[in-house]
Amino acid sequence: MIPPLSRFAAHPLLRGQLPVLAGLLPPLGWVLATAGAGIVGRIAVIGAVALFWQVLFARVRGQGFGLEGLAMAVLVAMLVPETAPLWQLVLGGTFGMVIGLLIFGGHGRNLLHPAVVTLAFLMFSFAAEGYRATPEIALFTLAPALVLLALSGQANWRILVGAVIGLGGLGWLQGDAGTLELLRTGPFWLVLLFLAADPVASAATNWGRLAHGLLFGVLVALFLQAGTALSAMIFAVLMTAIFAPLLDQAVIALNAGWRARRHG
Amino acid sequence: MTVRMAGGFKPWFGPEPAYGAEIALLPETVALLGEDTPHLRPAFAVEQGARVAAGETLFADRRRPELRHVAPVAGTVTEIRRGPRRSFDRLVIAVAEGEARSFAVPAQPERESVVALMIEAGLWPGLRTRPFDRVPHPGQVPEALFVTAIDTRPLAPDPAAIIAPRADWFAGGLAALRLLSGGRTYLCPAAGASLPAVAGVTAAAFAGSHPAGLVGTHIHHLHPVGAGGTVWHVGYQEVLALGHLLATGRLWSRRLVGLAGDGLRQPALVETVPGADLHELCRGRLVEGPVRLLSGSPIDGRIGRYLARGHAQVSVLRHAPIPERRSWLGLAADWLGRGSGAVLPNALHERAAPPGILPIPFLRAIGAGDVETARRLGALELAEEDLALLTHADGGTADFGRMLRRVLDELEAAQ
Repeated sequence: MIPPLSRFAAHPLLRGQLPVLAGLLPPLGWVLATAGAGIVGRIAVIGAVALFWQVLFARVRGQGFGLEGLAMAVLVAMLVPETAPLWQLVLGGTFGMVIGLLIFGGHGRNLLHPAVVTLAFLMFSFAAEGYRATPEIALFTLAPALVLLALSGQANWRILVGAVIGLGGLGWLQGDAGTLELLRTGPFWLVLLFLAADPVASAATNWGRLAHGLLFGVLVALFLQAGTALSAMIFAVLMTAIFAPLLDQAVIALNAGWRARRHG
Repeated sequence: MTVRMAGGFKPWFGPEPAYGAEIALLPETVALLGEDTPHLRPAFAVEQGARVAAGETLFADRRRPELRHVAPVAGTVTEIRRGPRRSFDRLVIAVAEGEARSFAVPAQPERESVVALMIEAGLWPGLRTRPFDRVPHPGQVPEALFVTAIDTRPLAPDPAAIIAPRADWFAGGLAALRLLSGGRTYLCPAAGASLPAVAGVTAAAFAGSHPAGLVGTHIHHLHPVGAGGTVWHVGYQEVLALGHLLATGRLWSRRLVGLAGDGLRQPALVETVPGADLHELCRGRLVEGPVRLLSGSPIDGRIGRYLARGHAQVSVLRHAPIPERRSWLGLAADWLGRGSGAVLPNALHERAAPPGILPIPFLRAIGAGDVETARRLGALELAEEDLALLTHADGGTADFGRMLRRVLDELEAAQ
């Protein structure tokens, strides 16, 4: 008898960072094929920085850690320009891991995705280095990630739908072809799937997730008016993640109010 | 009336077991477990080595005489074991031929006489309250009474097939239980099951995947409690036991238990006694290799030697032993896979959550011991079994049921 899909739904391999890393492989392969092997060095440097801080915090706190540092390193390495100086990546990676993830108590307790914090830090601090430039990533390489992350339940479909509606809707109202064009680019889907729809750094209730996606889409469309696509998306992710607990609190208040009415 | 549940999912523990006809299997030892009645401070009526008749009182709680436990079968008390801080761990009876005590059954059942009979025959601890899932005080009158005749846990036997040959007892027990309720009495079978209809009992069938069969789900849909009010609930085999007692005047010292799991060669529906020794039930049926025996379902069962009260299934699961020597790659994978211990939100949490509960905020609240937020988010509607599916969906490392009980204990103490 063939087991139903639910057999695999709760499988531990689907719950950690393995689907994320597997989803990152096709775009990584595409970058390797088009831009050369420079990205391997960047991943190694940022990965080493991330691992160092993870091990340090794990030792001090007596806690475990997972592969989230490696996922963050791959994401950052793909989204920074090839000319980025390594010392800046070390500095940015340190800031992202420590301030974005580890001081909150590790993966699962963080408010922001460490890659987002790293990229925002680099864009703010080294404005002349070209961190705001949008890299080239083919759209089709993100298709496996969409399937993997949506099926494993990590990237919630409500966030994805909300983001597409928010960005497409506002772009349509603005009559801006560039905004709608963004929906067909690889970097948008990379940021949406791995950063905006990160299960930890996004809203944690179903209605909150829809609002989270909508807010992300709307903010991207707004920020696009005054900046590059990558900077607009990264700051939109940052702002949305900061608002996610507020969205959740609204849903929690509605749920508690509904319960109070129902139970008299 | 049929309630169709969206969401939920059935965890995979092998194909649906094909239970055949009932097999009678009477073990040589049975036990009454302290875990079945938490916080019990027993006053024993028998001593180790005493011969007891079926239905004879063994012990009751010192402050709550309604928590009376009787011998399910005749035999000799071979062991009374204490747990930590002089709590009650278990009382073991070696089964022997002996007489069965008969009880005076009221000719015209009324609330007082049914309550007295249930306490006398040790059936009272089969009733539970919501909120808090405790044994009720006999003086209280619940707003509603729920009889659960559906089981959607993985590998569970079908209650309708167990009730069908005993329909008269079931109807008799249901008619008597109806007297306990201050309001409605709900009978909750699976959709499509045919159970005896009793006047004054509202049938409400449920359809859907796992949380659909839990009494917490039924209460949520039919008579929500939480802010105020109390309802009681009882399992279908307790109803059969009461019906048998009313019909014959003797204890029904049998329980129907489904044995299933990948550690068994063949699933079986056995007719055995309450508190049966699981080792004896499974003897000769196991596969080669190490297995785990659980009283209850694979997701909310208890590892132990004896059948717990109210459990209608025994799960036998293959057990992968930890190898003595591991490769460095395996060790590294374990080290990386430990994680921070926090809940990582997943779409599966929403599917596994009890109805009306926001799983991630709720789990974060009970994990942090935030009693007030947990209450606002519906902790009073729930018991341990309602969170078992969430524990399973989350990976099984964090026991949400125990966290919930800690919150419920605090809420109960504050009342």
